[in-house]
Amino acid sequence: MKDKNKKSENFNSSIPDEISNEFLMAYVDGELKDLNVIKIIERSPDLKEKMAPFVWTRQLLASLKTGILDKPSPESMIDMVREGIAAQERGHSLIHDLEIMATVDGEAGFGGEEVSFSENQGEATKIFSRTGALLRRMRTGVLQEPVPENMLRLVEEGLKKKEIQAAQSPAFEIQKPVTRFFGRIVSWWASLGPAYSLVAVAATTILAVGLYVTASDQVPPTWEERFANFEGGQQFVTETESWLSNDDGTFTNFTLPALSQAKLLMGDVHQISLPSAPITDSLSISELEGVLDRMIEGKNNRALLNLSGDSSVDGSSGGQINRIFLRAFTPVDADIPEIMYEKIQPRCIIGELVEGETANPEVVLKSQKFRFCPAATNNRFTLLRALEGN
Amino acid sequence: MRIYSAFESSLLAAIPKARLYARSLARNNHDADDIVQQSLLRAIERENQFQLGTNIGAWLNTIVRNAFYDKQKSHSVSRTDSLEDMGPGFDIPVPGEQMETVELFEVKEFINDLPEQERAVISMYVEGMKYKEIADALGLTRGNAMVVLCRTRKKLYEAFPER
Repeated sequence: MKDKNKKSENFNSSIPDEISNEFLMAYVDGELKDLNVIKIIERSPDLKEKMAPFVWTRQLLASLKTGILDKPSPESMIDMVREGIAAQERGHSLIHDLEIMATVDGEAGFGGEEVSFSENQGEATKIFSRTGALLRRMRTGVLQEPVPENMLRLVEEGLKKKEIQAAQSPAFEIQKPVTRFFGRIVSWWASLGPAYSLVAVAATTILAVGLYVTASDQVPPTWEERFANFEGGQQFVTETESWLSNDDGTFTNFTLPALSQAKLLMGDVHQISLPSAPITDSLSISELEGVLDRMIEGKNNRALLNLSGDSSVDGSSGGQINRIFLRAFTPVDADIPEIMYEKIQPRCIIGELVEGETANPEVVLKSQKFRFCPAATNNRFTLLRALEGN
Repeated sequence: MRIYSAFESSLLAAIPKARLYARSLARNNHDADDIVQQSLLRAIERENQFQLGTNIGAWLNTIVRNAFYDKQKSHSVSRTDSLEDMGPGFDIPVPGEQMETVELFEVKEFINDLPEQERAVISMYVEGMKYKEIADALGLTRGNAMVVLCRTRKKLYEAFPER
């Protein structure tokens, strides 16, 4: 208490050289009386910033206020104090009375321990003996009565009804079987003893690892596998001429980064060298997807939809070239036949992979339309099949 | 054979004390059982609020108490303290014991006029519940239950001193 007073005196002392945290806290709490210090604090933006933690913690702690200090004390506590004082004045103590009551009733004392009180002949003993006898005669035996049949039925039916209601709720449909399944597994484990539980855990782990290994062993399909639909299939008639050549009949070579930054306009033709062998060899889907990713990198949905120019990827090998022609269509202006086969999603590109002769690029040996959806999680690259009978 | 859930069996086990508590509140056996039935339905509804392993008696009695006050608000609790309503011991006054029966009736009246908490504690004591059981049923500490019981018995003694 003395320290507290000392502290509040400090707060109200002459202006200190440096305003400490204690002063700031006292200011926030409205306990700072020194007007000069208050003025200094109010004029300084730095100090106002420094007091922010106190403002925040004050608000935070205020929200925890229970108001117990403003509430009246419970009646039972007041009575207890009054009785205790009155009993004390009469030369009795309340604890003394409680100990005698417990002794008369054959119970442990006030503190929960056996009463070693020997003076059980006084007025208190008379009170508790008399009231004990009187009250015992009033016993109705309700606690020994069987629970009425209607109450038993009510509980049973109430719980059953609740279970049915819960079973009809949509959340239950999902939760109940799942929790029941795991609950059964856990209870089965628990029922097996520690040694068997260990074996069960080991078996489950082996099974899980086996499943993981099997799943991870799934190699993504090769280009040939994906291209199988095309091999021996319908030849596409494509507009390769306008895609492949510039106005002067030359090809513009682009590196991948340059292509990704290139302004793609209708009529432009872009070529880049494919690092891979011809498409019939070992170009993997993931490699192709990588190329496509880089080509559309940084283009937002709008830009992608407006990407109506064509670009090609050209890889020369053994007299053949692989060209990827990229064209992006909005579903509205998509009027090429392949749009009819699959619903084109936004942010997807329709492209064409063409195999042609190096010497005569206009001659298309093989062509395959594809769809590439960069944002998709599965099947980002899909070949579009030829229309039946086309 | 029907298998009871842990909640169901705890609830069923708590019914006798809930009935006793309801009687102490309603001072009428018929209303008390109505209150208990309402309370059981409420308890089933609020099953998710009850944590297994905690004191279901105190939880159910809190529901009983709320149900009693709800019923009281709707003025549907009657106070009909007849001899018949006072339990098996009061059914038929036996000649010779009539004076004693009248005294017990007066004691019952006295108890009925006690404040709620004292009435509950004394009613449970009457039925032979231990201090700890009374405390648990009412959500009190054992010491607090003892203080209330002690105070009430002193009042009772003042009203019915030893002859």
